[in-house]
Amino acid sequence: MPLSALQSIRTQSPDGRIIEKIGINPIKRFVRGYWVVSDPLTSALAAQGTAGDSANLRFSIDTQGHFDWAYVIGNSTAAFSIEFYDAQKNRLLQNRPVHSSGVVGPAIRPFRLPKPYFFNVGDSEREITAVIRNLSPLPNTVRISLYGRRFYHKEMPPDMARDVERRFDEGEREYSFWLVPKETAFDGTVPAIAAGARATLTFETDNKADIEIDKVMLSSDGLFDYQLRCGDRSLKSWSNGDVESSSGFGDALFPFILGDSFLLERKRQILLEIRNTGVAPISVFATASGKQMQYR
Amino acid sequence: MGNLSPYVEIPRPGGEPGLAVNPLKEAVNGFHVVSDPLTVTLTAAGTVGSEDELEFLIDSNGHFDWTSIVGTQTFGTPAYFIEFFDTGRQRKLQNRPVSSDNVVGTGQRLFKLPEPYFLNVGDGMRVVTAKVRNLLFAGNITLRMALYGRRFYVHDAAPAVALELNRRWGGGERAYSYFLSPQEYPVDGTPPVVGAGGTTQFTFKADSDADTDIHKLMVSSTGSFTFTLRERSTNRLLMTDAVLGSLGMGSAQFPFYYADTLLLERDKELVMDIVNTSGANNRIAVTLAGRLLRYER
Repeated sequence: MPLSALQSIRTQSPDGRIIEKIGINPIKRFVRGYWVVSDPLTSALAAQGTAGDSANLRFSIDTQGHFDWAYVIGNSTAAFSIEFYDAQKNRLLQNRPVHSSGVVGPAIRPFRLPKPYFFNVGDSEREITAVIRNLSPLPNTVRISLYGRRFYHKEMPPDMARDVERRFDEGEREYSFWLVPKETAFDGTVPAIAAGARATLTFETDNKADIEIDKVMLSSDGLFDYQLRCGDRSLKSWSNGDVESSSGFGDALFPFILGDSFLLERKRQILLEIRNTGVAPISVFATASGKQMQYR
Repeated sequence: MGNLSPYVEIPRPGGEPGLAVNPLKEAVNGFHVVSDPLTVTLTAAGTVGSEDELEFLIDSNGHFDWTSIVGTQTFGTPAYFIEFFDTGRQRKLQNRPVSSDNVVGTGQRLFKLPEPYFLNVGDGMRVVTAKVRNLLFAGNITLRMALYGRRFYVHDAAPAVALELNRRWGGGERAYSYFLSPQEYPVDGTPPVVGAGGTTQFTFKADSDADTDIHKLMVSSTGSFTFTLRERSTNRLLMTDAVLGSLGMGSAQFPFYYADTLLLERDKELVMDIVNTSGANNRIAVTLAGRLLRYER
């Protein structure tokens, strides 16, 4: 959410009256939209399953100021999987590699993180890394950047710099997280579902945090019918019958936003029951995105 | 529509504030209500099977707060026309059947109702029906539709939670979503054809028993056109000159939102003057979506 450029200022006139007027928000001039591009800038991935089908990207946030990561922007010539890792916090931002259709959007429709991810650079640098793997039998050229707000706190007056850290750095109890079915292999691939067959995919939280799921995304090579179900004893379905995949899932550009965010408590499951209604096998890459919430 | 907070603040034994899972959250869930039958095939316009009825049954598991419409149809086929009816309230949600291009979205871009429609199941069930018609296409259209929203599992919930859910959402039926089509459309909703270079006038009229607060404009047309909007009662034009249709109206997936909602008071009229600039016959289906506002009785 942008900082307001203007703010109300209260002053006192010489005769003691309180005067309220509008002035420029002093923080605003120290905050700028900012792209953190990857190193290397572009990755040419070899065909899936061959040497060179993966690459490591480094996103370095230098000491100029804090970075409030809000979007993932990029393009590629084919699908790939991605895994983000915050080295300083020793934190993975997903449980398995995530299909690019659930993570990366172009500038016209960037993928918005459910919760901006604040990098407090302090007096040093921060770094986030991403491992990308080609999911296509063809070579794949990938370019990704992180977009957000840069807070040039080193140029701010000390009080203002402390205020920024107080207001934004406290949000680290919850952070964006991508949850994919545990049937996804650690190289990001998924088992194919035969024509006419049924399969169940399981989204499961780990035992250290709850996840509040906001949106669900999908990539598949065919339409299918599905039901989502709570994995607890109630097995409560999220619909009164089969829903077609295009009516209940979006992608990174146009995600399907849930009617009410779903709180998946620790070690709980959501079951995605799939019925392939097509005449060919399909590979279903489903992704749920939300906020991982940890108690202090 | 805001999400319910997943946590609530509770006092710890020492009096310090602590966090716990919001008990209401566990009783609320995003939910698709699919139709019965799940899929229908409408035969060519004018044939016996060109219309059908879909039934959306909200069972007694809990209330349903309907927020969006999603659906699919045979790829490449033109729009069909829909008429929603809430059987419990004996209430139509439009003055004429509306084009599916204007009110049915997809999982990626849902059509959001201007006001969530709350279906309180009480101890029984509620049903919304949708009459669907193929009015224009000479072939078959196979379609599938679902209503999406929030389910409130009041019957599963602890009594205190159920009471709180009913207190917060159980009422709220004074305003509800409504689709407004031009008065000039026949009662089956068939949009008229405007000849090449021709002009026409559409009149949107609020009911005599409720005000309509219009939020967004959608259109489905077979060619380009320009339009002006004018309030009949004040003769006030809502633009300096004619605006191209594609610059002032959207679709179900990408509606055009008014900068500020337009309150059309009861019996008042909004006049749309249209010029067909396409150079060919042009069938123009316009829908305004808003909220019908009734005073408390």
